[in-house]
Amino acid sequence: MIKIKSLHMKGFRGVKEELSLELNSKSVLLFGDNGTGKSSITDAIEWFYKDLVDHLSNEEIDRKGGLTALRNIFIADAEKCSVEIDFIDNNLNSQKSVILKKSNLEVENSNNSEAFNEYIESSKNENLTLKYGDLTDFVLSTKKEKLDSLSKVIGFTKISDIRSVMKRAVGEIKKSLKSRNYENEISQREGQIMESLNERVVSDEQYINKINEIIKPLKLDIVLTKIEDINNLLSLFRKSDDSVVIEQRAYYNDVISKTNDLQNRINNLLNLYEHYYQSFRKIGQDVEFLKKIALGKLWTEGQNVLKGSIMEKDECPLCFQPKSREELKKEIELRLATLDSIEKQKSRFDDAKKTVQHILDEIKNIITGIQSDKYFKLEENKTIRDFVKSITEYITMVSQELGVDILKEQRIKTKDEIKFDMAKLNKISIFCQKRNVFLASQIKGAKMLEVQDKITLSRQAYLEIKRLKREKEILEKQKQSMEIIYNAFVQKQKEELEAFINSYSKEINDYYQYMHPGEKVENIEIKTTEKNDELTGMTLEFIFFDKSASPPQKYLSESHLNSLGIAFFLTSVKAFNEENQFFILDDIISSFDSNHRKRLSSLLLAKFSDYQVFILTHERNWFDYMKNIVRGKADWMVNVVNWNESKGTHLNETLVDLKRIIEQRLVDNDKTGLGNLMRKYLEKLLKGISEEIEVYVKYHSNESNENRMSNELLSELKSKTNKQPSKDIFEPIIKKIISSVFIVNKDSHNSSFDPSIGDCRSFWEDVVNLEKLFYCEECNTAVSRRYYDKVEKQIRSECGHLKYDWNN
Amino acid sequence: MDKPVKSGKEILDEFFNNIPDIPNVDKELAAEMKKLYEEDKLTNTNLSNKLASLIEEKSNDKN
Repeated sequence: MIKIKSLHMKGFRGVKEELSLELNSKSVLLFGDNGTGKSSITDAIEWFYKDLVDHLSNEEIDRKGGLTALRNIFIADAEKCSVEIDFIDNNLNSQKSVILKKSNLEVENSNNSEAFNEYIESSKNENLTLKYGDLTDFVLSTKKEKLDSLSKVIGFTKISDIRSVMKRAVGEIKKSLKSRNYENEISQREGQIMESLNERVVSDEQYINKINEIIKPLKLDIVLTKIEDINNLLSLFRKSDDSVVIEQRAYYNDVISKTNDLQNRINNLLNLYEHYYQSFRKIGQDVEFLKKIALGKLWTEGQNVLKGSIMEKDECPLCFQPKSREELKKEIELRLATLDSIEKQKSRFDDAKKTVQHILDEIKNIITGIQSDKYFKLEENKTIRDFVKSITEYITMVSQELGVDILKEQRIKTKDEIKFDMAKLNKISIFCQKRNVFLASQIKGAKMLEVQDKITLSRQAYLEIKRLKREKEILEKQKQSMEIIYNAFVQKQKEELEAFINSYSKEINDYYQYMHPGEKVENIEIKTTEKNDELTGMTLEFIFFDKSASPPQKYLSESHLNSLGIAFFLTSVKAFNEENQFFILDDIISSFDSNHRKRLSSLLLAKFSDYQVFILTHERNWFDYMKNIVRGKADWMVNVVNWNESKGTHLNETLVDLKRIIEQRLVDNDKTGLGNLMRKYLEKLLKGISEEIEVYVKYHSNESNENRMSNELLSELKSKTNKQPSKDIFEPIIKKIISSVFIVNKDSHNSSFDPSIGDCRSFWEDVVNLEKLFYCEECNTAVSRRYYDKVEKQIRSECGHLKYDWNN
Repeated sequence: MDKPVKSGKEILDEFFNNIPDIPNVDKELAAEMKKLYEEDKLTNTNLSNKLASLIEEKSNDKN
């Protein structure tokens, strides 16, 4: 996982010149008074990953994610506003800049590699920053927002979408099976077979035997063995001119079947239309409400504005009339909840419309089948053509009702008003039967034709029965398969969600208990709410003074709610961050008392020691406490954020910063100010060593304490080390530095002493050697009284690699 | 966390990889659903069309 090696900001937010954090994957504790711009660091990281800074992303600033607010207001147009982050994986290093080009602000990334873009994309949903203002976002959100928020992070949204696709498919198959009325269609065709063959046919074998029996008197010397043979047989018959009569009889039989089929479908259409009509009426009663779907986006945006820190006054963000912010939030929440119900109704309405349209399409297909036959155009079939015309007009009429714009029209036709005259179906059926009787009379007595007629009509009906049975069987099998798949999917979703929630709840509870042990808020759990087998939300429940309680805001104080927010964030870091092993806590403990601050410190060090943690605070006491805890730890660094007019937000120089500058100047043979820089470095180094091995110097009041000169510290260090068994190791180098011309000219950092570059190199070598005597090269911590080994009588560095015999 | 959290995608991948092995499920239907999922095309319309075409194909096969 990724940690940050260094962060450089220039001209970004509060930073005017440059702010550099040379972290080398270490955690960092930063103190800064309010107004020093320490949150510029959080903003920089948020922008680097998410392309926007949440609290700057509002229309009052701009519509570009707060881009105009990113550039420091004091930098010239030509100057760069940039955030540069180097990672432990060098391939991901990048500098992101906001550049002013022809009055337009443009964003540039120095790294455009596929690996970098993939990294940024997958980091976007990770939990990287937590600010005070966002602490209770999750805890105080609605049940649905909680579900949406977690679903989005863990990708459950996609699962819910697919589940709804499957559920709908199962419903459609069930509807289809019901609406087709296969039994009726099959029975109608069985009647046709009975009419032709005078017996029921239940198998291919029985059917073939029956046909063989019918053709036997014709002495054709043919014996059929399979259904396909019937085709060959019929082709022999078709040579006769009179066989056209039989084709016509087949056509009329087909129209009769289709008429029967149409009757089922039109009945079904009317039932579905009634559902559509009721749905239209229900949401059409308050069209104004329906129009509000379009206002949803505006309300959601308003809700975001009120939740953020853009509006500080209690007033409406649109009309600026005085209005309680909390009331306004509740009002919008209620409106959005109502909107949610309208959207669901609208979706049901759209579904009902689609279903009616689907059955209309099926009716159209049947009509097309009737029209496409060559006998449709026969002069004597005018009745059929009239019927087709009439039903086509009917389809158009129903289609028009489906096309009614619910926002413009008050009503649509009722089920009674769109009723189809079923007498027309009867009429066409009777017409076809009469034609059949007439045509049958024409071939009566012609044995060959009578046999051909029986075979043609029975074959048509028999194959149709087989097709219908097969279709029904396939549909039933499909329904069964889809139901099994859907149930398996629901089960899988439940199991995985439960496993996740249990594990997630346990972690939140553990972190909370760590910060608030024995405070009668126990067993914090996330619970899901369901309606009609669908997840509708999530809520937080807990045991409060031995009784089950929810929601937290009803029972817990602000600081306890904040703790819950921190526990939720920390849990999310561990659960969801797959790319990054760092996170930022920006001023999150303002509402905590000292006891809970200490507990949070200890939680971070105990449970997140493998993470790179950025702690930013303006609370001096907590900073001092944390500083003391992390003092001497090789994986932590501490600094102070300041602000002045020339630099803007900047950090106090650290030993690492100074060393980097000094060594660069030595490489460049640039001795400008080098003497003072090295003296400054030596002073800081000596202060650090003195603190660790407890070198005492004479007391000075207040600020004077901080202004000890190196010679004073060196002299006391020499005195301390001279009392130690290992004094010979320390003495030569300390003596050499004390006698150095840099120390002798001690009266001022700005003395007129002008050393050569050679003098500087020689002195720097001594300083580095002194540092090596006290700082371990393995773990980079100083030998310290804190790691004193009483048995061996040695002081040691944290890892124990560097150690000296030492008198306590 | 006790167990690593499975992402939604992992859960879906797992489900659709195993879909052909669910007992009593039509193999062809399972394979088509898996294919639609893998192509990121598992929508109401696509599934509905696929189910209809499966019925048509199978009806024609037997005829």
